[in-house]
Amino acid sequence: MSLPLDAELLDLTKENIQPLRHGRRADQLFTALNAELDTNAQKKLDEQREQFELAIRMYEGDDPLEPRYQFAHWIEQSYLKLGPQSKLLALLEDTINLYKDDQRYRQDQRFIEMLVKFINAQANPIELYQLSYNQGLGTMCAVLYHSWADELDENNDWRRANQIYELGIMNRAEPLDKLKQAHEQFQLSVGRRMMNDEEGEEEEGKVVAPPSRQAFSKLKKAQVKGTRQPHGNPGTLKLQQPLVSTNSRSMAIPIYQENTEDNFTGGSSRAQIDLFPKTSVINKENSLKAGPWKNPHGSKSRSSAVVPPSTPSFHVHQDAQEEKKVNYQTPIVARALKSIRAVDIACPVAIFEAPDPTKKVMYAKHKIYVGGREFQLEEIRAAIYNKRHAIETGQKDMCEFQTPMIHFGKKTSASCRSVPAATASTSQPEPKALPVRLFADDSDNSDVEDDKDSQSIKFYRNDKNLINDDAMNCEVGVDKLSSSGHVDDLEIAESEKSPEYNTKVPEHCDTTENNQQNIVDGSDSTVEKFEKLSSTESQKLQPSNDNQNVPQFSDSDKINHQRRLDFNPVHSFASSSSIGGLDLEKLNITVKPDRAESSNFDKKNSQSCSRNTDLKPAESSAATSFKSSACGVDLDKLKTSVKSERDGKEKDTTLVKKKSSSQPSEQRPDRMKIKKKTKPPSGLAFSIFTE
Amino acid sequence: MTVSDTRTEFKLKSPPEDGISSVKFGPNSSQFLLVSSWDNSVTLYDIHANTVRMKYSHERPELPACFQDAVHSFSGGLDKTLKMFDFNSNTETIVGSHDQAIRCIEYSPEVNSILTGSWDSTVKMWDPRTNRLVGNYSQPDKVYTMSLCGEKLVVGTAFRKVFVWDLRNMGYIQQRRESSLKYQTRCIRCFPNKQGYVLSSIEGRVAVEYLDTGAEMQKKKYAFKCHRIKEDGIEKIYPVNAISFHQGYNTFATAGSDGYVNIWDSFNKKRLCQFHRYNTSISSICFSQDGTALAIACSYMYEEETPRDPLPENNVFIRYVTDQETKPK
Repeated sequence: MSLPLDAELLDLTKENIQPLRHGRRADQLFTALNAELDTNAQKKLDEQREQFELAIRMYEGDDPLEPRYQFAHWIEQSYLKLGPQSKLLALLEDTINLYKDDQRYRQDQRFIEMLVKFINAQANPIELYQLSYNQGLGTMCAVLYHSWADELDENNDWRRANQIYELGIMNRAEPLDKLKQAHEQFQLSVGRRMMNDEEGEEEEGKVVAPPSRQAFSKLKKAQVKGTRQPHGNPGTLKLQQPLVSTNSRSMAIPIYQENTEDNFTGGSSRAQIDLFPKTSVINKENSLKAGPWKNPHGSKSRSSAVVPPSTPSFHVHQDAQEEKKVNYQTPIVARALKSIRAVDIACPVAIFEAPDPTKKVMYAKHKIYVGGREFQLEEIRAAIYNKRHAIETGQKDMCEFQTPMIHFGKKTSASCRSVPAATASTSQPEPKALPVRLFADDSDNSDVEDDKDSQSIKFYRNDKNLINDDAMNCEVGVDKLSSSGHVDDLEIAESEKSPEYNTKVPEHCDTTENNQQNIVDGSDSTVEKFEKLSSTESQKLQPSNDNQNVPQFSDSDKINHQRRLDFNPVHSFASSSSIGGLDLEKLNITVKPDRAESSNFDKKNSQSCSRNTDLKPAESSAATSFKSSACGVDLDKLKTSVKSERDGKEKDTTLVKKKSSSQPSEQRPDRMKIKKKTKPPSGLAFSIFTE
Repeated sequence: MTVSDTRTEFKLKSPPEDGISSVKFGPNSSQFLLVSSWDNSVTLYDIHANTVRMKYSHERPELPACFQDAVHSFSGGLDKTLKMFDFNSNTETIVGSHDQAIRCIEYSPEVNSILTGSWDSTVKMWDPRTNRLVGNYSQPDKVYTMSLCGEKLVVGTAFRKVFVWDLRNMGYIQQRRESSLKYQTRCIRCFPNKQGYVLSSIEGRVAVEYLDTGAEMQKKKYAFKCHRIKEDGIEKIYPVNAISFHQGYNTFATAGSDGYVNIWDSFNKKRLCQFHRYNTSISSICFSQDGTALAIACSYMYEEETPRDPLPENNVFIRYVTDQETKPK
């Protein structure tokens, strides 16, 4: 560890290092960097990791959270990218599920820190913050409010962010002075951003001419003003697999709507049941096995390659030899290479079942499975033995694993995210959302800049000793998992014979009926419990409900506005499609976008209006001003094709090309305007207006 | 201990002081039983006389042991070293070592070599004549259990993976499989008829699988629940710790932490019998070569959240089984 940090090495890889709020320890960073390049160092790191994992399992004492907390810290420090291989999320998830009902930890600073880390890595952090608040998790911890407000701030929901701070201060969350400080800082920064924004706008008005577009050139993605980048810090990525983080991007606009009713019944109570659901449950598509394709359309098209679907009335001459050759070649090659291929199979550590109160596992399941890894009973026992042995003989080398923890408290303080400088242009002032006094403080803007670092809040705690050497009996942890039995529904390849088998083997009895009933009962009770909770606690956040919609629809409104003003159909279509990220060069050739879209609808809606695509305005409006519910044809297809403007546009444009080339001059495109309104949750409603 | 010393079943005198990790019968007769224990010792018992024949020890707890032939045994454990012991000359030789504890040892008469699997994610092959390392085969994960099926070696690792190797060509893994059970693999044992293997999991299930990858054979595989006890409407599910095959009949016994031993007829999918409940978990069982005796190692395995107090005593029971109990009907 005494080796100096290689600056060059760091320089080469610094883009791949995930920044941490509380910074990285230099020596730890060095080992982590080495591990990336050197397999030996990697091995050492793995060993260290195993010691941490064993420490969790061997912990004897009344604070089982501590080794997990240490481990999470260690992972953050030791895995530069914090990718899936670090298994940080699995650990956090595991810990939260294990201790979220533990009275010791519901207001524990460390636990809430872990919770916040977990929530920040999810696609819907704001909802989860709300949920944990509703459940009373961490309501006395400033960290929760601070991160919550931060998240809202990133979404430019300043008003709510402010409310969250006030809520935290009202609840006297600890440490209170830090929270107050953060609140002030937030207010200053908002004010500063508003000021900068106004200046920026003025400048813009002077210098920048009205946007002019060039035909036959790519347009940049439209700058939607008023939305900061969802993740403020450059280079900061969420701890998420890429597949999921694309989801989180689409969530940048908060769709969180809390009507009074919603909050107490349907939506959130369901969320209460699976609060912090397992990622395996959320992403179950990823682990589903590939099976035969049941879609008749797909299978038809696939089989048509091999067997013609129907025998035609005439005979097609077929070269028998050639076909044989094709059939002959492929399977042999495939099979010959099959066994040699050195592909490792990826298996989940276990296929966990839903907890079942009628079943009880008779082993310490949560010791076996922690943080996405598993250990054998004997391994845990061996570790305990080794430890005991080491103590008895006083051997130093065997004691190693007892103190692998890093002392985080000293050097690196877990300071909260400093308020970002007002660089992002925010052109959407929300005057009603901000109290006036925010602006009063704004005269000393520069001071804030300077004090940014010194003012940043520091949350940290000194670590305790992880392992209590004296107590040797392993009465670890809380029995959460073992009390919840697991549904067994797996019977492999027992299709025909199973009933017979059931009768013969007495233990093989079927208990599924009982189980199901119990599951239903269980969920009911939790729903009730939640309703009680939420009705008392969540009302404080009600006022901001309607405000949620403002940023959400502003974008589409703007688009509509643009469309109405722009008389040139190319422009109007271009502006909308450029938002969807479409390549416009294709469209410039086809030229008639409005016409095209209407004909597109027309095609989709082919049963309500005739196949004939030349629409008279009146007819077209009649045909296309349907509500999504009234259309019986290909509603789903229509929805998806239009809703996902980004993805589906290309399909549509190919249609456009065909249509418009076949009927080039039947209708003036500028006679029609399409008004489009996107409403994410419920699908779409279209209407076409004619002048 | 009411049922312990009957005519069909008796308890070994002077059992190991700590947990018993494995019991193995000698290759030729049912007279000798090799018992390895967490008290660092490997003991050779004479069943007929009910005495200790030989005892030697390791530095650390001993996990598996196995006979090479009637007079040689191999053992290894937490001290990571593989030891050979010669019962005739009463000498021990250190053969080699792993990076981590040795979890399982098997002797293959087909290729005349010792195979050791370890938590360092390797399987090593040793030549017992020269005591030299023949090959080191890295496994994708920690080795938990291992069994020989003629020239096939079936390795069960962490993350529910099962790998089938061919001892004649250890250049590549012949088959990679995912365990068909949902939870951690506890034990794998191969059928004496070399058609397949039986796999048990930590959560009260046993799977019967076939090595032939043809679709028809694969259709025949199945799994069943066992080692569960219903009490007051709650089903308690125990780990299935050990499996042992009757060499003649292709039936097998399973033993779990519930303290029961069941004998199963895998082809007719029947349970042949269940013995009385032992006072604690059963960590290991072994049929003798002729199938007349079954050694049952009872010792607590620390599988529960809080260890029992006082700890149950460790015992090895020898049960003489009848054809009625072991032969398929």
